[in-house]
Amino acid sequence: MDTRDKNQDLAAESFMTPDSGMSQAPIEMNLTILTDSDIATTLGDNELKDLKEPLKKPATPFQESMRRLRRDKRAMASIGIIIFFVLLALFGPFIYQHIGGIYNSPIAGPIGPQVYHTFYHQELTRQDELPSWVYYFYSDLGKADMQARQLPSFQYWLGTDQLGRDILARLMQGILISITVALLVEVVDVGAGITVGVLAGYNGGAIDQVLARFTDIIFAFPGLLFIILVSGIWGEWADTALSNIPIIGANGNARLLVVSIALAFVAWPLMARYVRGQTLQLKEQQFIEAARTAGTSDFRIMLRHIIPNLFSIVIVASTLNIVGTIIGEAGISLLGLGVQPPGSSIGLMISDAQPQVATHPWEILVPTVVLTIFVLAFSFLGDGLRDAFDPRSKD
Amino acid sequence: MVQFLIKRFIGLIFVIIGVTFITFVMGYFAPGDPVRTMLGNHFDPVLYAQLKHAYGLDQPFWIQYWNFLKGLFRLDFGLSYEYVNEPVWDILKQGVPVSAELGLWALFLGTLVGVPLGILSALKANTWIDTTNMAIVLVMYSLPVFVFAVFFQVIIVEIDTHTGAQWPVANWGNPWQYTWSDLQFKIGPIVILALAGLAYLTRLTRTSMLEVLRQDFVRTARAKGLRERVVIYRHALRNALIPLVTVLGLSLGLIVTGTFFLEDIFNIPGIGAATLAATQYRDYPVIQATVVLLAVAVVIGNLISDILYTLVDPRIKNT
Repeated sequence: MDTRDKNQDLAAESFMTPDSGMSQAPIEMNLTILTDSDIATTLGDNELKDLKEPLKKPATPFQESMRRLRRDKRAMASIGIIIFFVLLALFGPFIYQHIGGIYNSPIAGPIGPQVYHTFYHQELTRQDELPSWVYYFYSDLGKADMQARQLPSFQYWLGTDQLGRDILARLMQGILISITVALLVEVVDVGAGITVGVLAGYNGGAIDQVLARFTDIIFAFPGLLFIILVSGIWGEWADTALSNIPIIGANGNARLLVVSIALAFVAWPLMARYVRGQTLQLKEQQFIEAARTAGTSDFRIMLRHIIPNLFSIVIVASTLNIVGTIIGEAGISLLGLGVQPPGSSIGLMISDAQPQVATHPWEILVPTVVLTIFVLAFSFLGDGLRDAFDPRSKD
Repeated sequence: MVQFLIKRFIGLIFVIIGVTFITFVMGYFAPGDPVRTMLGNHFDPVLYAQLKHAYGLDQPFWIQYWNFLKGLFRLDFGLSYEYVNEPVWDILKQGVPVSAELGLWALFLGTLVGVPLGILSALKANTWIDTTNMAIVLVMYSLPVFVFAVFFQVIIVEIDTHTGAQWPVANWGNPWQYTWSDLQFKIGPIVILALAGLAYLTRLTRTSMLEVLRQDFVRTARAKGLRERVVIYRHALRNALIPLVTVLGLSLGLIVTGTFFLEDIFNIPGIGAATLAATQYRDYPVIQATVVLLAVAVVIGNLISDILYTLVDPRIKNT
């Protein structure tokens, strides 16, 4: 750790050499004898291109990192899983609402899939005979009290919950909520983290002092406790005041805005601290010195020379922070302080199914397993990104 | 040493003021007028003024904050908004032993298992033992406690249904009593909460132990022909444990937030459950009190670990 600052260039060189050596393949062309026109007469266009190709530049550090990332199977699998979940959340409901026939609901009359495959539609009266093997998952008590519940079927792919709401539809909406909150928080986290971190690292002084004190307080305060405090006090206000905002305010999601702000508030100091550390290192490097000597303004140095070099640390830190954000949102909704019914969130699904865990374990397993996979995917991706972009951090 | 402690102490006061101030401001600017809500349809200006005075809400901002701070030292967090005339502390009082029991046992168990696991992993570094151990720990580290709580409940329920056992999946026995039926309630939540700190401790112990094993003095000890057991337990281990003291505060933080979820899921009557119930009734003083109590506990945990650090590592004195 301690040698990291001083020998950075050295270390960077040593781990780059084995790969970058490859691209500078030995080409022995005697250009003084053959002029361009000579080559053109003797070689076809494609061969000419081949000759010029090997002279391309060696891979940039970013390309090197991406190559390391591509070789990391666990990280690539995680990316696949994340993309799958994102596509599921974005397009899943649209497709799902077009699959299935007309169903004669005892209460609502004949309804199509665009009604019963929504995450808020309640189908309260129906009860089906089920194949005996599915009862394995259910206790005697559970069999007696099927109520509006249904197990997975062609109509409801993952079954329905105690109010007859489609679990798959609720799940997709829940993932969408997780992603939305993660995006919202990350925008604030990265924006505030970079701004304050760069200013604190580059200028030092008062901003640095304030950041240091502020981070001390935030780190001492268990983050989730703060979020519980904020959403506990402001949640009910948000329910009425923010419900007019389209999409994010509708369907009982109004509290999410409050939760997101609280999550971002506890997340950004860590990002700022990472950025500050990296800025301190960059500031001492020669290219910054060169820019300064050339008369570049401080603002321009920060914007053009420092911020682009923060890319790797920001991408790693924000991916790992997404893990915390998704857990935070699910946890707050689980405690009943986040998304309100009829909205859906993974945490809310867990808390809805929780009282019936003894009789209907399936309902609680679905959201929990999905959350587990989703969180692990981001966590592994974050680890993979860190190994790829900062190989020295590995033991 | 003394200078270091004074410096730390000043930092602590800074942080506590920050934490209490944030908490207070949240409650002060909370939406709605609690006294107004309390009176409901029976609004009466005289009664309104009286109640405002009783709750100290007619005072200016800084005096209210000062009273709030003064109250903290006497565990007097004011009166509840929901249960008229009942001090907040009375509402939380029953929950404190339960939450403390859950948290302390989890901390103890997490340390008791986490540290040896980390040492084992470091000694067997890069063998299959280390790899599987670290893979499991990474999964535990990434996942929140409530996921484990849910899996635990489902498994217990399945066992109960298929074997006819009567293992409970909710509630808490008598606090600080350990008959068999009490234990049945407590083992699950405590073990799950311990996982939160365990994963973190295992990773840290492994890193710390590996670092020490690379040091020159370990090589010297081996070179002069000491038995491997002596090298590891007397020379390496004692030094590897030093940094672990510093994570006390951090694992305390993990455990404090973990209790909220476990008390919610396992229906345990601790302060987390009391606080969540308070959010239903907008009983802000209860929420504030819990947050301040727990945050201060974590901050003090941090201070204690700093002091311990100076005690176990004499080199710190000089800095």
